[in-house]
Amino acid sequence: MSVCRNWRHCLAALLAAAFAGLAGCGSPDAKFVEYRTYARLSEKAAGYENGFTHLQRQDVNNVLAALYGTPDAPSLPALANVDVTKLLDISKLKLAAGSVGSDGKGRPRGLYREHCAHCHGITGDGNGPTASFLNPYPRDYRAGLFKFKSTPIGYRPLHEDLKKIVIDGIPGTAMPSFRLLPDQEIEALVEYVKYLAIRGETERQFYNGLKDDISESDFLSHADPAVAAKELADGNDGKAPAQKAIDEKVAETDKQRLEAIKGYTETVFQKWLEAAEFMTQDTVKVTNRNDAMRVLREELVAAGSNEKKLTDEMVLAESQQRGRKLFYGPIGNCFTCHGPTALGDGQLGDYDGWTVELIGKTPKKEDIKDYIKHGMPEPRNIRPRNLRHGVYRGGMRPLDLYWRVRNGIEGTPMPGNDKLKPQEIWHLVNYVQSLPYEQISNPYEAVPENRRERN
Amino acid sequence: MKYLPRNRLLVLVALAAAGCARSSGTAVWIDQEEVASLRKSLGGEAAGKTEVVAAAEPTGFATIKGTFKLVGTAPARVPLSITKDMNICMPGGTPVLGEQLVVAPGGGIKDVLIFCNSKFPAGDPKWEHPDYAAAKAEKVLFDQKSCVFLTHVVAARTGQTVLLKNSDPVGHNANIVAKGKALSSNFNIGGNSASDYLVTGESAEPFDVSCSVHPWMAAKMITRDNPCFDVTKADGSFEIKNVPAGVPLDFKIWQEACNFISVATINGKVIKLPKGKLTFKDKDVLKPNEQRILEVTVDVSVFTK
Ligand code: HEC
Ligand code: HEC
Repeated sequence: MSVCRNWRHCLAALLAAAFAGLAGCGSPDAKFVEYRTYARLSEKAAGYENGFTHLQRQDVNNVLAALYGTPDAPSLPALANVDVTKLLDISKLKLAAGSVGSDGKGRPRGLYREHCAHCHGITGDGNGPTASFLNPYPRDYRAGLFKFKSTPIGYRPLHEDLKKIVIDGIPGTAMPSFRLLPDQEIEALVEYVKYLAIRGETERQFYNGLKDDISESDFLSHADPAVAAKELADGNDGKAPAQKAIDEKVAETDKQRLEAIKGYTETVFQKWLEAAEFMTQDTVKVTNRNDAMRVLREELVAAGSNEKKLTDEMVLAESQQRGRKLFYGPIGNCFTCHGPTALGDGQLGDYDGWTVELIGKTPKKEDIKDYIKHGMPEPRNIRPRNLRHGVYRGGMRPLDLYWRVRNGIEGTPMPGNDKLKPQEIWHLVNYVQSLPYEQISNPYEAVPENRRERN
Repeated sequence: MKYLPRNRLLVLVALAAAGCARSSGTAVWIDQEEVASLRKSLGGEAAGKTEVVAAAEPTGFATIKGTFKLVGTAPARVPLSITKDMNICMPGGTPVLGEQLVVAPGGGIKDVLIFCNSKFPAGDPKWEHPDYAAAKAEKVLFDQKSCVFLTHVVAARTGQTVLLKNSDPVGHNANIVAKGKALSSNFNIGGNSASDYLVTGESAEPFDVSCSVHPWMAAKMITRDNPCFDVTKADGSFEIKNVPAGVPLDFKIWQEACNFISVATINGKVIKLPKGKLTFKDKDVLKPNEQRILEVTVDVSVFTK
């Protein structure tokens, strides 16, 4: 079944494709691109010397289009076991999708292509035309991983987390703030980011499926009657089966395959829904900083401090002191990466998660070359943050820093701290916030062994 | 639905035309008719959850045990490059060797993972022996000492907690980059302390666990819904008790150095294992109370190719 049934069709399609290509030189091409790096990873793991076949790749593209539509006409799948509408709103997606302009009623369209695609790419692969000049690179949404969020590593971000990033931007990186856009447009863009992430995650699932889950690797296409006939014959001493039996087997196989496709897709949606659920648990509720400081105050008084003379500044100074101890000690362990003076120079040879997934922690030259060929950006080392600048990418509010220290930063080496008490996290946050003002006359003074002499 | 070769030609030309600006990727070519038909079948189905369960019911439980041995000379283990906390991570200056493929003097292969890949209906005592239900509450220990993950391949089941322990005075963390329905996690584990990792879903294959501060530290983890799995000990031996008998089952066999093991000699017979799959069906189905012994040898070429 193909569009190219006779030469006239072929020619028309060729011309159309050529024009689409030409148009793509000025503005980004309005077609999703294949997730080649991940496909490559799966091919290699499966031991397919020559990679997935063209037909397998075509199947992935077709199924994705059936589930999610195209950049101009997004759609959402109907899934039996998850409520897709709880997560994505198709009317908002339509505002963000398409080419730049407005619809008949004067409402804007194509917001994503107007504001985001030149960095993040039409597909959300982080590979727009300006991407390769930026450091850090724009986010590739397709792995479903985001750095700055209220949820711990392993959980998808909340809608509000992404919205905050779009509104505030990421200071210290190329990611701009979109504060000036109307709320309705920001909402649409956030929905669209989720949509691209979910689409990309589904693509990954399908490549995983091709790699190992399903014994027949062509699970994404219709069952082949010839194969069904052969299997039936093999199971019956080579006797040719009746047409009815073949039809039944084909129908049964198709049903199983559709179930598999839906199963993979549901897994992706479930992960996003799971995050919102997880964040309603009591254990993840944040104690606020004032409460934490009040408790510290009570502790200090109980330990003999003069209640009347104990100012808030003194309580804060004590908290910073405790944070400092954690920072440079084996429990907090922050200095290993952020360095003995918190200049961000403790550990410089790491790569981020998007890179390590493809080429590992200590990459081989030939792997780097291979994945670059398939669309990976030139790998760059990720640096722990220089905490003396006082610029925080995930936000300036104390609460933002609380989440970073408590939950870690997904896709980076920065771990979370689930064993520290909320009060201890606040000590660390207070210390981190004091770092830009702490003197480093002699960098070695801040080395753990010397820390007592300093104060 | 098979495609005409002409179609492929078309894709090539479309690619060539679209590739003018930069090589950012392969623009997707979609077969519209196929998409329309797929969409119809995907949307039309409002069926409830269909658990993929083997049709038959188990008739009892059996044990699978045996050993994995290497045929040929194992490649030498490579010393790891230890770059930090030398006094703790490289005590006495003794080189620390990689654990991808560790072979005992008698040929036993360590860290071969064998797991049942068939779906069990959740909580059904015909499938899941009561012993397993009881064992679910026990934590799986995953310790780090001298900057080595003491369990190089750790397996746990959904609902179990893995105790991420640190027996070193320096800080570590277990950076779990999960696959499938398993959960990623990366929490700092202070010197001589521990953290919990609750297994919330399964993965079809093992995934990486590493330490963000000691880059040479590496281990693998797999999480499974059903309890039938084991990892071979240093002598290559394994034992899986209480495997459902009387039903066809699929197992998968994996080792880090080669990923899924593709071919092995089992009880003297060469057996191809497509993507690591070993199937017990028809006359090979386990019988209740049977002790199925698998003496497995794997040629060294499987690991080195
Ligand atoms: C000038 C380039 C640029 C533009 C335009 C841009 N971004 Fe970004 N964006 C970035 C970079 C760079 C990062 C990665 C920063 C980092 O890793 O710290 C990023 C990261 C993000 C993230 C990930 C945040 C996280 O927590 O991981 C989201 C979401 C995002 N951008 C959304 C958008 C949206 C929506 C738009 C359009 C409204 C947009 N970006 C426009 C460069 C850009
Ligand atoms: C294993 C290395 C590692 C350890 C240990 C570590 N960090 Fe980080 N940290 C990083 C990296 C890498 C980044 C930059 C991540 C990014 O790309 O945004 C970072 C970023 C940060 C940021 C910046 C957040 C922002 O919004 O810009 C803060 C604050 C921070 N770390 C605090 C800490 C504290 C406090 C500790 C100890 C409890 C700690 N880190 C331990 C690696 C580490």
